[in-house]
Amino acid sequence: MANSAMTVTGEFGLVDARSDEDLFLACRDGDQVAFRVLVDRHLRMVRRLALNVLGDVQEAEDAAQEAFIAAWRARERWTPEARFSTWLHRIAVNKAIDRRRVRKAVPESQEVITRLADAEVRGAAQADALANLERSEVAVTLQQALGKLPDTQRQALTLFYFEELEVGRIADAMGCSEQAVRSLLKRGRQTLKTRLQRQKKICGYGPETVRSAPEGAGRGA
Amino acid sequence: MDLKLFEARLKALGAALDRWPEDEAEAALDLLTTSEAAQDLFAQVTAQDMGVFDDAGGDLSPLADRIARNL
Repeated sequence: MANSAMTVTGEFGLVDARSDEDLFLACRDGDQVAFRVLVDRHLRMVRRLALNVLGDVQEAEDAAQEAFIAAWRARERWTPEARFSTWLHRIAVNKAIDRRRVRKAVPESQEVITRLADAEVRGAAQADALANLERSEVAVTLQQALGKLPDTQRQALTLFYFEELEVGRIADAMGCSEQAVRSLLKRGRQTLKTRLQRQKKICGYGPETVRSAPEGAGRGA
Repeated sequence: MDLKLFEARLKALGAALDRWPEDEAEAALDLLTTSEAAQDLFAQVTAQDMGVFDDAGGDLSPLADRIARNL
């Protein structure tokens, strides 16, 4: 086992003589106090790593939280072949990069929604001007509908359809389970479908050509 | 961007990517996404910076508490 030469007293005054690796092995048995000592030792560094990627304090602290929670969830799979700190830092960098991608995706929602509308109307394949007009109107409607979704549903849809992340990666980025991500995707798609159908009734256009993705479409959601 | 260039830019610009030219920051992020060696180097430089400069993060105990509550 690799032992880290760590400061025994951490930032918040927790004292434990064990190495990081021994503490994390203790976490396998559900020892949250041991994990709290690890948080004590590494939080400032993990936060700074995330800040260096994200450039935003609040987002960096959210990413740091996600990194520690991901480490806790992965504790049973971890093998003490490398230093705990090295492993944790890699998780932190990946979480921060995921967040940066999410942040980048949100301001580009106009493009994102247009692409969603394109994907949704592809089955109709009407190339005439009317179809193009309808498509652009659907895109606007879809943008409005997406903007009204709960944040978590919108984030899951954006990551799945436009960042093309796997469900597992979305779960990591959002700090929830894969099942929760699938549920968010399903509810988000259903809400969009309902709103688009309502728009069709009001305006008399669109979503004969707009079809919701069949369950199981995409990459496993 | 390869690891050698990444290391050179880290030494020249520091580890805070928002201080890098945007195109270079994006290239660095692409490398960090795929290279554990780049991630480890990034962490080393970050740690060195923290040793040289004061960390302005303030009291992180509320964040530590938040993490503990969400395990």
